[in-house]
Amino acid sequence: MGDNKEKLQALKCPSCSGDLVKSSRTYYDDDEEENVTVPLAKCVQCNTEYDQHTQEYYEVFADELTADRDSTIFKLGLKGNLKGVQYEIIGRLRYQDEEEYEKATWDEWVAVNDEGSYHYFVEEDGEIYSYSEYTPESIDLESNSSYIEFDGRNINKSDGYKARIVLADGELPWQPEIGEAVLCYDFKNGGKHYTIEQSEEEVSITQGERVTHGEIIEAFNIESFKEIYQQTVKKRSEFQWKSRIYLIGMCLSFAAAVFSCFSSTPVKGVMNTKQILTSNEPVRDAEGTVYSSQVLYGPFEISHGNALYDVGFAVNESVQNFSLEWQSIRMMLVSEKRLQDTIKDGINNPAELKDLFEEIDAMPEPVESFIITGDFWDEEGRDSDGYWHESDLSFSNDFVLDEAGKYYVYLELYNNKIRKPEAVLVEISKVRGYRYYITVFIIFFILWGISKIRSRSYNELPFEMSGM
Amino acid sequence: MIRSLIITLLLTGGAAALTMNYIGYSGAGKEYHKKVRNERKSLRAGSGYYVPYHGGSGSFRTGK
Repeated sequence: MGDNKEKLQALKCPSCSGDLVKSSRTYYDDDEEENVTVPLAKCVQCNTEYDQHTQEYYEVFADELTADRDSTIFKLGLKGNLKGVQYEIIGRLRYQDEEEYEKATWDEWVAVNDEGSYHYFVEEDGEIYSYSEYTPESIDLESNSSYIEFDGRNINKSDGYKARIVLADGELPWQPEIGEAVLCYDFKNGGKHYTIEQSEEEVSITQGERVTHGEIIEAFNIESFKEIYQQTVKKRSEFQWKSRIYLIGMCLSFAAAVFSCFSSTPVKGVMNTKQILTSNEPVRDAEGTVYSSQVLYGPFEISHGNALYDVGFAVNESVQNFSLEWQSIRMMLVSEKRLQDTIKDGINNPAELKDLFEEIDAMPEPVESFIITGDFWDEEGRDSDGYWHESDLSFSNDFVLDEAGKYYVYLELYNNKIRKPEAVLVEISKVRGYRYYITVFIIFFILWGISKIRSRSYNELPFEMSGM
Repeated sequence: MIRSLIITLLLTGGAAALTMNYIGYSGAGKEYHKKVRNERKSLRAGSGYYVPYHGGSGSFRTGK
C-alpha cells in the first residue's frame, strides 16, 4: 500500500500538485523537414509540460516502457551456476535511453555470487552480457572536459548517453527512483565490454562478456525454455543452410547470365554489299510529307541454324547527324534461296527487286524470314521543369533462326527529313539467351533474403534472441 | 534443406532448359512462314497489307 501511495504522489505536478497525464506536442522539425509529434507528460491544472529530460516524464510513461516486462529469460530468485560461479538473481532494473522517444530499453538483472559480490546480467536487443564489478588500474573522469582516461585509454565523453530507470524490482543495492538518471559510457577494450555508469552519488564500473541464451538456460537450469530453445536453434540453423544453398543458386545463375551476356559472335559482312532501291522518295498524306528509302544489304553468310541471333540498329552519326527528327525502320531478313525462287534472275536487278519488295506483304507465300520494326527519334521541348531534350537512336531484337545459309537484310526507311539511307547501322550477332538466368537470379535473391531473415528472426521463445 | 536443394536444382535446370531450347523467343524461318501464311490466308485481298508507319515517333512528352 505504501508503495502505491508513493506512486500516486509521484504522478502529481511538482509546481501545482495537479494531475500529470500523457500528452504530445507537434512541431516542425528542420532536419526531417516535416511536422513531428513527440510524447510529453502534462499537468492538467497548470499545463506545465515535462519532456523526456525530466523525471516526471518517466513516471507517467513507465507503464508503456515496461509493458513487455515479462518477455525475459530471467526472473527474480533464479539460481544457477555459470562457468563455475554460483549466482542468485535478486533484483532488476530497466533503463530507457533518454534520447529516444520510442521504446529503447534494456534490463539489468542484479545477481549476487557465492562470494557475496554483485553481478549483472544485461539483456538488450536479444543479447545477454554478463558483467562483474571492475576496478581499473587508472581512471580519471574529471581532468579533461572531452574524454575520460581509463586504463591508459581515452574514452570520448561525447560517446556517453543518459539512461533513465523505468522499472526497479527486487532487492537492489540502493533504492532507485523511477526516472532517475545515469550517465553511461559503453566501450570495448581488449575484447571485453566495459560500462561506466555515473550517477549523482557514485560511479560504477563493470567488465563483461557476451553469453548465449543457451548458456544461461543451462546455467540456471530453466526447464521451460530448454526444448523450445533447442527447437529455435535447430530451425535457425536450417534456415542458415537454406540461405547458403540459395546463395550458391544466385552465384550460378549470375555467372550463367554474365557468361551468356558476353558470349556473342558477330555475323560478318552484313553491310558489305548494298543496293539502294529508292532514296528519299516523297510520300504525301494528310499529315504532310515523309521520305521513303529502300536498301538491300547482302548476301551474307549465317553459319549456324537453330540458334539465337540479335539484330541491332543504330543511327550512324558519322554519316549524318540526327537532330530533331524521326525515322521509322522496317527490316526484313530474307534468305537468298527464297528470294531466288521468287524473283529468279531479277535478284541483281534493282527495279525488279523494288517491285518485289513493294508487293511483298501481299504475297500469299511469305518471302521474308522475319520482320522487325522500330524507330529513332530526337526531340526537345519545354515543360514545367524547363527545357528538355531526349532521343532514342538505337534498338535491337532477338530471334531464333532455324536454317543456316545466305541471307539479305532489306530495310524500308521513313523519315520526316531527307536522310542518307546508309546512315542506319545494322549488326547481327549470334548470342546466348540470359533472360531466364536473370529471372532465376531474382527468385534466388528473394529466397536467400527470406531464409537469411528467418535464420536470424525465427523464434519460439517468449523473448527476443539474436544469434544462437 | 533437401527441399531447398531440389528448388535450386529445378530453378537452375529450368532456366538452362528454357534458354537452350530458345523458349519464349520469336522464331524466324519456318515458324515465321507458317504464322504469316495463316495470317494472310485469313485476310481479304487488299484489306490487311502493311501500311508504312510515318506518323512520327518520339518520347511520351510529345504525346505521339
